[in-house]
Amino acid sequence: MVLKNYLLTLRNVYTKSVTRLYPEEIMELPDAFRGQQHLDMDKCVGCGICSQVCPNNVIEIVKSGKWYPQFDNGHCLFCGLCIDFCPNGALSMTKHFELCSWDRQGTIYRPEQLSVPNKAELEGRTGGYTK
Amino acid sequence: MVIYDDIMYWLVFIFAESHPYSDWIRGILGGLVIGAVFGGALVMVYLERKFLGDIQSRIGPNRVGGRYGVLQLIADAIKLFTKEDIIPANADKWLFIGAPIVALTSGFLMVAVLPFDYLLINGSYYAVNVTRMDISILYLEAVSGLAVFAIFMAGWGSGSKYSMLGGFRNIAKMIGYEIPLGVSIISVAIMAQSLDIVEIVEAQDFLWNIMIHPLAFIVFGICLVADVGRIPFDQTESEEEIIAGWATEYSGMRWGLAFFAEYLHAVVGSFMVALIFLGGWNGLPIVGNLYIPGIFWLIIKTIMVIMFFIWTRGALPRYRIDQVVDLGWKCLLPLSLLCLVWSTIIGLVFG
Repeated sequence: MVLKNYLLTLRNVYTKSVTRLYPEEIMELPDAFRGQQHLDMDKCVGCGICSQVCPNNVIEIVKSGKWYPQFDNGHCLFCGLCIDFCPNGALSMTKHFELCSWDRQGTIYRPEQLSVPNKAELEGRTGGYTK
Repeated sequence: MVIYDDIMYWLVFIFAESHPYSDWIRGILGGLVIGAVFGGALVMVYLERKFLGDIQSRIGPNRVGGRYGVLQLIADAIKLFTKEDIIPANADKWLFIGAPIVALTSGFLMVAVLPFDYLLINGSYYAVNVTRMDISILYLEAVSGLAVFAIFMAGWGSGSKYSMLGGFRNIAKMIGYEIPLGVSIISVAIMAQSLDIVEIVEAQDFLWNIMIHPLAFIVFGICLVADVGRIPFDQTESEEEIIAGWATEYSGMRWGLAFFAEYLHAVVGSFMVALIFLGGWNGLPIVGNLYIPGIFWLIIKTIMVIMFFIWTRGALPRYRIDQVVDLGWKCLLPLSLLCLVWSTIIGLVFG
Protein backbone atom coordinates (compact mmCIF):
# COMPACT_ATOMS: atom_id res chain seq x y z
CA MET A 1 0.00 0.00 0.00
CA VAL A 2 2.76 2.36 0.94
CA LEU A 3 4.72 1.64 -2.22
CA LYS A 4 1.62 2.20 -4.34
CA ASN A 5 1.20 5.60 -2.76
CA TYR A 6 4.78 6.48 -3.60
CA LEU A 7 4.37 5.42 -7.22
CA LEU A 8 1.07 7.27 -7.57
CA THR A 9 2.51 10.51 -6.25
CA LEU A 10 5.57 10.17 -8.42
CA ARG A 11 3.32 9.84 -11.45
CA ASN A 12 1.58 13.05 -10.41
CA VAL A 13 4.86 14.92 -10.56
CA TYR A 14 5.08 14.29 -14.28
CA THR A 15 1.50 15.09 -15.14
CA LYS A 16 0.24 18.55 -15.96
CA SER A 17 -1.05 20.38 -12.91
CA VAL A 18 -4.80 20.75 -12.65
CA THR A 19 -4.60 24.32 -11.35
CA ARG A 20 -3.94 27.29 -13.60
CA LEU A 21 -2.10 30.56 -13.20
CA TYR A 22 -5.38 32.43 -13.44
CA PRO A 23 -4.82 35.97 -14.68
CA GLU A 24 -2.32 34.80 -17.27
CA GLU A 25 -4.21 31.71 -18.26
CA ILE A 26 -8.01 31.57 -18.49
CA MET A 27 -9.83 28.29 -18.46
CA GLU A 28 -11.76 27.17 -21.50
CA LEU A 29 -15.33 28.32 -21.01
CA PRO A 30 -18.36 26.48 -22.44
CA ASP A 31 -20.31 28.06 -25.31
CA ALA A 32 -23.37 28.39 -23.07
CA PHE A 33 -21.39 30.46 -20.57
CA ARG A 34 -23.35 33.46 -19.31
CA GLY A 35 -21.08 36.45 -19.23
CA GLN A 36 -21.59 40.07 -20.10
CA GLN A 37 -24.54 40.89 -22.36
CA HIS A 38 -24.11 41.96 -25.96
CA LEU A 39 -26.62 44.20 -27.71
CA ASP A 40 -27.17 44.29 -31.44
CA MET A 41 -28.46 47.84 -31.88
CA ASP A 42 -29.70 47.20 -35.41
CA LYS A 43 -32.06 44.45 -34.28
CA CYS A 44 -33.29 46.08 -31.09
CA VAL A 45 -36.69 47.72 -31.34
CA GLY A 46 -36.78 49.09 -27.81
CA CYS A 47 -39.86 47.12 -26.82
CA GLY A 48 -38.74 46.89 -23.16
CA ILE A 49 -39.67 43.22 -22.65
CA CYS A 50 -36.18 42.55 -21.30
CA SER A 51 -36.69 45.23 -18.68
CA GLN A 52 -40.05 43.71 -17.70
CA VAL A 53 -38.80 40.14 -17.27
CA CYS A 54 -35.61 41.05 -15.44
CA PRO A 55 -35.95 39.67 -11.88
CA ASN A 56 -33.47 42.12 -10.37
CA ASN A 57 -34.51 45.25 -12.21
CA VAL A 58 -31.11 45.47 -13.84
CA ILE A 59 -32.34 46.78 -17.14
CA GLU A 60 -33.53 50.30 -17.68
CA ILE A 61 -34.73 51.48 -21.10
CA VAL A 62 -32.89 54.68 -21.88
CA LYS A 63 -33.02 56.97 -24.86
CA SER A 64 -29.92 57.34 -26.91
CA GLY A 65 -31.18 58.17 -30.35
CA LYS A 66 -33.79 55.43 -30.18
CA TRP A 67 -34.78 53.52 -27.01
CA TYR A 68 -32.34 50.89 -25.90
CA PRO A 69 -31.75 48.80 -22.73
CA GLN A 70 -29.09 49.90 -20.26
CA PHE A 71 -27.66 47.26 -17.90
CA ASP A 72 -26.54 47.75 -14.31
CA ASN A 73 -24.44 44.61 -13.91
CA GLY A 74 -23.79 45.43 -10.26
CA HIS A 75 -26.87 43.41 -9.36
CA CYS A 76 -27.34 41.28 -12.47
CA LEU A 77 -27.59 37.56 -11.70
CA PHE A 78 -26.88 36.48 -15.27
CA CYS A 79 -30.04 34.36 -15.49
CA GLY A 80 -30.39 35.02 -19.20
CA LEU A 81 -34.13 35.75 -19.15
CA CYS A 82 -33.68 38.98 -21.11
CA ILE A 83 -31.94 37.02 -23.86
CA ASP A 84 -34.67 34.35 -23.90
CA PHE A 85 -37.46 36.87 -24.11
CA CYS A 86 -35.96 39.21 -26.69
CA PRO A 87 -38.37 38.98 -29.69
CA ASN A 88 -35.78 39.98 -32.28
CA GLY A 89 -32.73 38.19 -30.93
CA ALA A 90 -30.94 41.46 -30.34
CA LEU A 91 -29.47 40.41 -26.98
CA SER A 92 -26.88 37.69 -26.52
CA MET A 93 -24.28 36.74 -23.94
CA THR A 94 -20.52 36.81 -24.30
CA LYS A 95 -17.88 34.89 -22.40
CA HIS A 96 -16.52 38.02 -20.79
CA PHE A 97 -16.68 37.65 -17.01
CA GLU A 98 -14.07 40.02 -15.53
CA LEU A 99 -16.58 42.75 -14.70
CA CYS A 100 -15.09 44.28 -11.53
CA SER A 101 -14.92 48.04 -11.32
CA TRP A 102 -13.69 50.58 -8.84
CA ASP A 103 -17.03 52.34 -8.29
CA ARG A 104 -20.74 51.68 -8.71
CA GLN A 105 -20.95 53.78 -11.85
CA GLY A 106 -18.46 51.44 -13.49
CA THR A 107 -20.91 48.54 -13.44
CA ILE A 108 -23.53 50.43 -15.46
CA TYR A 109 -23.26 49.67 -19.16
CA ARG A 110 -24.72 52.04 -21.71
CA PRO A 111 -26.22 50.48 -24.88
CA GLU A 112 -23.33 51.89 -26.91
CA GLN A 113 -20.87 50.08 -24.67
CA LEU A 114 -22.77 46.82 -25.01
CA SER A 115 -23.04 46.97 -28.77
CA VAL A 116 -19.34 47.19 -29.55
CA PRO A 117 -16.81 44.44 -28.79
CA ASN A 118 -15.56 45.23 -25.30
CA LYS A 119 -11.94 45.66 -24.30
CA ALA A 120 -11.58 42.13 -23.02
CA GLU A 121 -12.87 40.69 -26.27
CA LEU A 122 -10.42 42.77 -28.21
CA GLU A 123 -7.61 41.48 -26.00
CA GLY A 124 -8.82 37.94 -26.50
CA ARG A 125 -9.59 37.47 -22.82
CA THR A 126 -13.12 36.15 -23.20
CA GLY A 127 -12.47 32.59 -22.19
CA GLY A 128 -11.63 29.75 -24.45
CA TYR A 129 -8.26 31.39 -24.55
CA THR A 130 -5.23 29.51 -23.30
CA LYS A 131 -1.64 30.45 -23.51
CA MET B 1 38.16 22.98 -6.58
CA VAL B 2 41.65 24.23 -5.81
CA ILE B 3 40.20 27.25 -4.01
CA TYR B 4 37.95 25.00 -1.98
CA ASP B 5 40.89 22.87 -0.96
CA ASP B 6 42.96 25.91 -0.04
CA ILE B 7 40.23 27.30 2.19
CA MET B 8 39.64 23.98 3.84
CA TYR B 9 43.38 23.38 4.36
CA TRP B 10 43.70 26.80 5.93
CA LEU B 11 40.76 26.20 8.25
CA VAL B 12 41.91 22.79 9.30
CA PHE B 13 45.45 24.08 9.74
CA ILE B 14 44.16 26.68 12.17
CA PHE B 15 42.13 24.09 14.00
CA ALA B 16 44.87 21.55 14.18
CA GLU B 17 47.83 23.76 15.03
CA SER B 18 46.19 25.51 17.98
CA HIS B 19 46.44 28.91 16.43
CA PRO B 20 46.31 31.82 18.95
CA TYR B 21 42.95 32.96 17.56
CA SER B 22 41.79 29.40 17.12
CA ASP B 23 38.83 29.73 19.48
CA TRP B 24 37.57 32.87 17.79
CA ILE B 25 37.84 31.42 14.34
CA ARG B 26 36.20 28.23 15.54
CA GLY B 27 33.34 30.31 16.89
CA ILE B 28 32.99 32.24 13.66
CA LEU B 29 33.05 29.03 11.69
CA GLY B 30 30.42 27.60 13.98
CA GLY B 31 28.26 30.65 13.28
CA LEU B 32 28.82 30.19 9.56
CA VAL B 33 27.86 26.54 9.75
CA ILE B 34 24.72 27.44 11.68
CA GLY B 35 23.94 30.04 9.01
CA ALA B 36 24.50 27.46 6.30
CA VAL B 37 22.19 24.97 7.98
CA PHE B 38 19.65 27.76 8.44
CA GLY B 39 19.92 28.44 4.73
CA GLY B 40 19.56 24.74 4.13
CA ALA B 41 16.33 24.74 6.10
CA LEU B 42 15.11 27.66 3.98
CA VAL B 43 15.94 25.76 0.81
CA MET B 44 14.14 22.77 2.23
CA VAL B 45 10.99 24.78 2.87
CA TYR B 46 11.06 26.08 -0.70
CA LEU B 47 11.76 22.64 -2.14
CA GLU B 48 8.98 21.20 -0.04
CA ARG B 49 6.41 23.68 -1.23
CA LYS B 50 7.39 23.29 -4.86
CA PHE B 51 7.77 19.51 -4.90
CA LEU B 52 4.62 19.01 -2.84
CA GLY B 53 2.84 21.19 -5.38
CA ASP B 54 4.02 18.91 -8.17
CA ILE B 55 2.94 15.84 -6.23
CA GLN B 56 -0.51 17.26 -5.62
CA SER B 57 -0.94 18.36 -9.26
CA ARG B 58 -0.76 22.04 -8.54
CA ILE B 59 1.84 24.71 -9.15
CA GLY B 60 3.07 25.86 -5.75
CA PRO B 61 4.52 29.32 -5.04
CA ASN B 62 4.57 31.27 -8.29
CA ARG B 63 4.12 34.99 -7.67
CA VAL B 64 6.75 36.51 -5.42
CA GLY B 65 10.14 36.66 -7.07
CA GLY B 66 9.30 35.67 -10.58
CA ARG B 67 7.65 32.69 -12.17
CA TYR B 68 9.03 30.22 -9.63
CA GLY B 69 8.14 32.08 -6.43
CA VAL B 70 11.68 32.04 -5.08
CA LEU B 71 11.09 34.97 -2.73
CA GLN B 72 7.84 33.61 -1.30
CA LEU B 73 9.63 32.60 1.89
CA ILE B 74 10.91 36.12 2.42
CA ALA B 75 7.39 37.45 2.01
CA ASP B 76 6.19 34.91 4.54
CA ALA B 77 8.95 35.86 6.96
CA ILE B 78 8.00 39.55 6.68
CA LYS B 79 4.41 38.59 7.38
CA LEU B 80 5.43 36.57 10.42
CA PHE B 81 7.65 39.33 11.78
CA THR B 82 4.97 41.97 11.50
CA LYS B 83 2.22 39.90 13.06
CA GLU B 84 1.07 40.58 16.58
CA ASP B 85 2.91 38.64 19.25
CA ILE B 86 0.22 37.07 21.40
CA ILE B 87 0.93 35.36 24.72
CA PRO B 88 -2.27 33.80 26.05
CA ALA B 89 -3.50 35.07 29.42
CA ASN B 90 -3.36 31.71 31.17
CA ALA B 91 -0.10 30.62 29.60
CA ASP B 92 2.99 29.92 31.64
CA LYS B 93 4.90 32.83 30.18
CA TRP B 94 8.48 31.65 30.53
CA LEU B 95 7.76 28.14 29.33
CA PHE B 96 5.80 29.60 26.42
CA ILE B 97 8.64 31.91 25.42
CA GLY B 98 11.34 29.33 26.09
CA ALA B 99 9.92 26.46 24.08
CA PRO B 100 10.85 27.64 20.55
CA ILE B 101 14.26 28.69 21.82
CA VAL B 102 14.91 25.24 23.28
CA ALA B 103 13.71 23.66 20.05
CA LEU B 104 16.11 25.78 17.97
CA THR B 105 18.92 25.18 20.46
CA SER B 106 18.47 21.45 20.06
CA GLY B 107 18.90 21.82 16.30
CA PHE B 108 21.94 24.07 16.61
CA LEU B 109 23.63 21.79 19.14
CA MET B 110 23.25 18.94 16.68
CA VAL B 111 25.12 20.95 14.07
CA ALA B 112 28.15 21.22 16.35
CA VAL B 113 29.38 17.69 15.73
CA LEU B 114 28.32 17.18 12.12
CA PRO B 115 31.40 16.50 10.01
CA PHE B 116 31.31 17.90 6.48
CA ASP B 117 34.51 16.64 4.95
CA TYR B 118 37.64 14.69 5.68
CA LEU B 119 40.93 16.09 4.47
CA LEU B 120 44.46 14.78 4.20
CA ILE B 121 46.88 17.45 5.38
CA ASN B 122 50.59 16.81 5.91
CA GLY B 123 50.04 13.10 6.07
CA SER B 124 47.23 13.02 8.61
CA TYR B 125 43.48 13.26 8.24
CA TYR B 126 41.39 16.02 9.70
CA ALA B 127 37.60 16.14 9.82
CA VAL B 128 35.98 19.46 8.95
CA ASN B 129 33.61 20.01 11.82
CA VAL B 130 33.16 22.42 14.67
CA THR B 131 33.83 19.93 17.43
CA ARG B 132 35.12 16.42 17.26
CA MET B 133 33.96 14.11 19.99
CA ASP B 134 34.56 10.42 20.42
CA ILE B 135 30.89 9.88 21.34
CA SER B 136 29.47 12.27 18.79
CA ILE B 137 26.70 9.92 17.68
CA LEU B 138 25.37 9.54 21.20
CA TYR B 139 25.62 13.30 21.59
CA LEU B 140 23.59 13.78 18.41
CA GLU B 141 20.88 11.52 19.73
CA ALA B 142 20.87 13.15 23.14
CA VAL B 143 20.52 16.72 21.93
CA SER B 144 17.96 15.71 19.35
CA GLY B 145 15.98 14.34 22.29
CA LEU B 146 15.91 17.85 23.76
CA ALA B 147 13.35 18.80 21.11
CA VAL B 148 10.87 16.54 22.92
CA PHE B 149 11.21 18.74 25.98
CA ALA B 150 10.70 21.83 23.87
CA ILE B 151 7.45 20.46 22.51
CA PHE B 152 6.26 19.47 25.94
CA MET B 153 7.20 22.91 27.27
CA ALA B 154 5.10 24.45 24.53
CA GLY B 155 2.25 22.04 25.20
CA TRP B 156 2.21 22.64 28.94
CA GLY B 157 3.05 26.32 28.86
CA SER B 158 0.36 27.31 26.40
CA GLY B 159 -2.38 26.58 28.89
CA SER B 160 -4.61 25.13 26.18
CA LYS B 161 -6.08 21.66 25.95
CA TYR B 162 -5.08 21.21 22.33
CA SER B 163 -1.50 22.14 23.06
CA MET B 164 -1.53 19.83 26.05
CA LEU B 165 -2.82 16.94 23.94
CA GLY B 166 -0.13 17.62 21.36
CA GLY B 167 2.56 17.60 24.02
CA PHE B 168 1.27 14.34 25.52
CA ARG B 169 1.10 12.74 22.12
CA ASN B 170 4.65 13.77 21.43
CA ILE B 171 5.91 12.24 24.66
CA ALA B 172 3.95 9.02 24.01
CA LYS B 173 5.32 8.82 20.49
CA MET B 174 8.90 9.71 21.26
CA ILE B 175 9.33 7.21 24.07
CA GLY B 176 8.40 4.54 21.58
CA TYR B 177 10.66 5.83 18.81
CA GLU B 178 13.82 7.02 20.52
CA ILE B 179 14.61 3.45 21.56
CA PRO B 180 14.62 1.88 18.08
CA LEU B 181 16.42 4.98 16.81
CA GLY B 182 19.12 4.53 19.40
CA VAL B 183 19.40 0.79 18.90
CA SER B 184 19.68 1.09 15.12
CA ILE B 185 22.43 3.69 15.52
CA ILE B 186 24.20 1.47 18.03
CA SER B 187 24.04 -1.48 15.64
CA VAL B 188 25.80 0.65 13.02
CA ALA B 189 28.32 1.84 15.58
CA ILE B 190 29.08 -1.77 16.47
CA MET B 191 30.02 -2.46 12.86
CA ALA B 192 32.26 0.59 12.72
CA GLN B 193 33.58 -0.20 16.21
CA SER B 194 33.30 3.44 17.17
CA LEU B 195 30.78 5.96 18.44
CA ASP B 196 32.55 8.74 16.58
CA ILE B 197 30.51 9.76 13.54
CA VAL B 198 33.71 10.55 11.60
CA GLU B 199 34.97 7.03 12.08
CA ILE B 200 31.58 5.60 11.20
CA VAL B 201 31.71 7.43 7.90
CA GLU B 202 35.31 6.37 7.36
CA ALA B 203 34.29 2.74 7.87
CA GLN B 204 31.95 3.11 4.87
CA ASP B 205 34.84 3.77 2.55
CA PHE B 206 34.22 0.68 0.46
CA LEU B 207 30.65 -0.45 1.25
CA TRP B 208 28.04 1.90 2.53
CA ASN B 209 26.03 0.93 5.56
CA ILE B 210 22.82 0.90 3.53
CA MET B 211 24.20 -2.06 1.57
CA ILE B 212 25.56 -3.97 4.54
CA HIS B 213 22.73 -3.14 6.89
CA PRO B 214 19.53 -2.17 5.03
CA LEU B 215 17.29 -3.11 7.96
CA ALA B 216 18.93 -0.58 10.25
CA PHE B 217 18.53 2.01 7.49
CA ILE B 218 14.79 1.37 7.27
CA VAL B 219 14.31 1.41 11.04
CA PHE B 220 16.43 4.53 11.40
CA GLY B 221 14.62 6.27 8.57
CA ILE B 222 11.16 5.61 9.98
CA CYS B 223 12.23 6.60 13.49
CA LEU B 224 13.86 9.75 12.18
CA VAL B 225 10.69 10.84 10.41
CA ALA B 226 8.86 10.27 13.69
CA ASP B 227 11.58 12.10 15.59
CA VAL B 228 11.37 15.12 13.33
CA GLY B 229 7.57 14.97 13.51
CA ARG B 230 6.73 15.09 9.84
CA ILE B 231 3.85 13.41 8.04
CA PRO B 232 3.01 10.50 8.48
CA PHE B 233 4.12 10.95 12.09
CA ASP B 234 2.89 14.45 12.85
CA GLN B 235 0.14 13.45 15.25
CA THR B 236 1.49 16.11 17.63
CA GLU B 237 0.09 18.80 15.36
CA SER B 238 -2.62 17.08 13.37
CA GLU B 239 -4.94 19.89 12.46
CA GLU B 240 -8.02 17.74 11.91
CA GLU B 241 -8.02 16.50 15.48
CA ILE B 242 -6.22 18.96 17.72
CA ILE B 243 -6.05 22.25 15.74
CA ALA B 244 -2.26 22.59 15.53
CA GLY B 245 -1.28 20.50 18.54
CA TRP B 246 1.46 22.03 20.62
CA ALA B 247 1.76 25.01 18.25
CA THR B 248 -1.88 26.05 18.59
CA GLU B 249 -1.33 29.12 20.75
CA TYR B 250 1.76 30.35 18.93
CA SER B 251 1.56 33.18 16.47
CA GLY B 252 3.87 35.45 14.58
CA MET B 253 7.58 34.87 14.75
CA ARG B 254 7.36 32.61 17.80
CA TRP B 255 5.45 30.18 15.67
CA GLY B 256 7.98 30.88 12.91
CA LEU B 257 10.82 29.86 15.21
CA ALA B 258 9.10 26.65 16.23
CA PHE B 259 8.33 25.87 12.61
CA PHE B 260 11.88 26.62 11.63
CA ALA B 261 13.28 24.46 14.41
CA GLU B 262 11.34 21.58 12.94
CA TYR B 263 12.84 22.11 9.51
CA LEU B 264 16.30 22.57 10.98
CA HIS B 265 15.84 19.27 12.72
CA ALA B 266 14.76 17.68 9.46
CA VAL B 267 17.82 19.03 7.62
CA VAL B 268 20.21 17.86 10.33
CA GLY B 269 18.40 14.51 10.40
CA SER B 270 18.92 14.19 6.64
CA PHE B 271 22.60 14.94 7.18
CA MET B 272 22.65 12.15 9.75
CA VAL B 273 21.10 9.68 7.30
CA ALA B 274 23.58 10.71 4.62
CA LEU B 275 26.50 10.40 7.03
CA ILE B 276 25.57 7.22 8.85
CA PHE B 277 24.02 5.17 6.07
CA LEU B 278 24.80 6.69 2.68
CA GLY B 279 28.53 6.90 3.06
CA GLY B 280 28.83 10.59 3.92
CA TRP B 281 31.60 12.22 1.90
CA ASN B 282 32.66 8.97 0.22
CA GLY B 283 31.89 9.35 -3.44
CA LEU B 284 30.76 6.84 -5.99
CA PRO B 285 33.51 5.20 -8.07
CA ILE B 286 31.66 6.12 -11.32
CA VAL B 287 33.35 9.53 -11.58
CA GLY B 288 36.73 7.90 -12.18
CA ASN B 289 39.70 10.18 -11.69
CA LEU B 290 37.64 13.36 -11.56
CA TYR B 291 38.15 14.95 -8.18
CA ILE B 292 34.93 16.03 -6.46
CA PRO B 293 35.14 17.45 -2.92
CA GLY B 294 33.58 15.31 -0.23
CA ILE B 295 31.26 18.05 0.92
CA PHE B 296 29.68 18.01 -2.54
CA TRP B 297 28.84 14.33 -2.25
CA LEU B 298 27.50 14.87 1.25
CA ILE B 299 25.21 17.69 0.15
CA ILE B 300 23.95 15.74 -2.85
CA LYS B 301 23.08 12.80 -0.62
CA THR B 302 21.45 15.06 1.94
CA ILE B 303 19.29 16.69 -0.70
CA MET B 304 18.23 13.27 -1.91
CA VAL B 305 17.22 12.30 1.61
CA ILE B 306 15.33 15.57 2.02
CA MET B 307 13.51 14.98 -1.25
CA PHE B 308 12.55 11.54 -0.02
CA PHE B 309 11.17 13.09 3.17
CA ILE B 310 9.08 15.49 1.13
CA TRP B 311 7.93 12.71 -1.15
CA THR B 312 6.89 10.73 1.91
CA ARG B 313 4.89 13.70 3.08
CA GLY B 314 3.07 13.85 -0.22
CA ALA B 315 2.53 10.10 -0.46
CA LEU B 316 1.40 8.95 2.94
CA PRO B 317 -1.58 9.87 5.09
CA ARG B 318 -1.30 10.63 8.79
CA TYR B 319 -1.75 7.59 11.01
CA ARG B 320 -3.73 7.53 14.22
CA ILE B 321 -1.71 8.05 17.37
CA ASP B 322 -2.42 4.53 18.68
CA GLN B 323 -1.32 3.02 15.37
CA VAL B 324 1.88 4.99 15.57
CA VAL B 325 2.65 3.90 19.11
CA ASP B 326 1.79 0.31 18.13
CA LEU B 327 4.18 0.50 15.19
CA GLY B 328 6.93 1.81 17.42
CA TRP B 329 6.67 -0.78 20.16
CA LYS B 330 5.45 -3.87 18.31
CA CYS B 331 7.26 -3.53 15.02
CA LEU B 332 10.23 -1.19 15.10
CA LEU B 333 11.62 -2.23 18.47
CA PRO B 334 11.87 -5.96 17.56
CA LEU B 335 13.26 -4.99 14.15
CA SER B 336 15.90 -2.81 15.74
CA LEU B 337 16.89 -5.65 18.05
CA LEU B 338 17.18 -7.78 14.93
CA CYS B 339 19.53 -5.11 13.56
CA LEU B 340 21.68 -5.58 16.63
CA VAL B 341 21.77 -9.33 16.01
CA TRP B 342 22.68 -8.81 12.35
CA SER B 343 25.54 -6.44 13.10
CA THR B 344 26.80 -8.81 15.77
CA ILE B 345 26.78 -11.63 13.21
CA ILE B 346 28.65 -9.46 10.76
CA GLY B 347 31.11 -8.55 13.46
CA LEU B 348 31.67 -12.20 14.39
CA VAL B 349 32.02 -13.43 10.82
CA PHE B 350 33.99 -10.63 9.21
CA GLY B 351 35.35 -8.78 12.20
